[in-house]
Amino acid sequence: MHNQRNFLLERERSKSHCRKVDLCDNQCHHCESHCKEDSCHKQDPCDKKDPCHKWSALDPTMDHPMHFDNDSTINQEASGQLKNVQQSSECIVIKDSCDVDVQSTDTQAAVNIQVALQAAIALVISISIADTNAGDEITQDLFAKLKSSQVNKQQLYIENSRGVNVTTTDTDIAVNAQILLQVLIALVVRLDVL
Amino acid sequence: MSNNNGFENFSTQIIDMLVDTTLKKHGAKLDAEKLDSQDKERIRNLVESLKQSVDDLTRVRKEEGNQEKEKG
Repeated sequence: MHNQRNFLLERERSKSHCRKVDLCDNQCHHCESHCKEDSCHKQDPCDKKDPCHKWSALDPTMDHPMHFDNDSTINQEASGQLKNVQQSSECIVIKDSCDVDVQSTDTQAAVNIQVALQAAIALVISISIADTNAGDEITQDLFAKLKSSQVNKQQLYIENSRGVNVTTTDTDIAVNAQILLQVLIALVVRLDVL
Repeated sequence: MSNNNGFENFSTQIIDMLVDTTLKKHGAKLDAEKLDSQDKERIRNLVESLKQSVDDLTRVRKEEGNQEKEKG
């Protein structure tokens, strides 16, 4: 019952908001479509593209703020991938302990290999495709498909312990590097390099 | 071992399809003629170097895994 009241209240708010700016027969056609004339709709100042215009869940004609007409995986910034890789981190804390043996894969080396592979893929595509924009889009598309849990955080906390052996491995990055290498090889084979 | 080889072939096929479909989607084609012999040699060295680095990383990971099994 409480939810139903809220729903009605929001509906009234939505109507009143649109009516304030409406010039066409005191009705906002996006909120209540009574008028069928196109000319009338063209004069509608209730601009849905205006960022200041609050999105209403009750208005079926309004696009959701997270809705994009184009493929968002292509439009993302080129630096996004590298940013994700840099988020890989490892934290080891050993306190009031002795005889502790920690073996850890060099995460930084793994990250460097991954970045180098990504750079090599981008390089091969950019020098072998004439259209720069198409090359950038293909690179983005490939990286977007290959993005797999690149955010990897390992935290290890050892306190008041003796004779502890710990082995940590950044498996995600190792696997991802193998896949990137396969993509790079697939590209260079098509260029008669290998 | 044979299962591992089978998986590698399967993985290679998937990657090949991924690259092909991505290029097709954008109507682009990799032009081998844009690369001269020097470029190809440099790319070949780059790929070999990266392959060696990834193999080293994978080998370290496998060795660590085996050590864990032995200890466990």
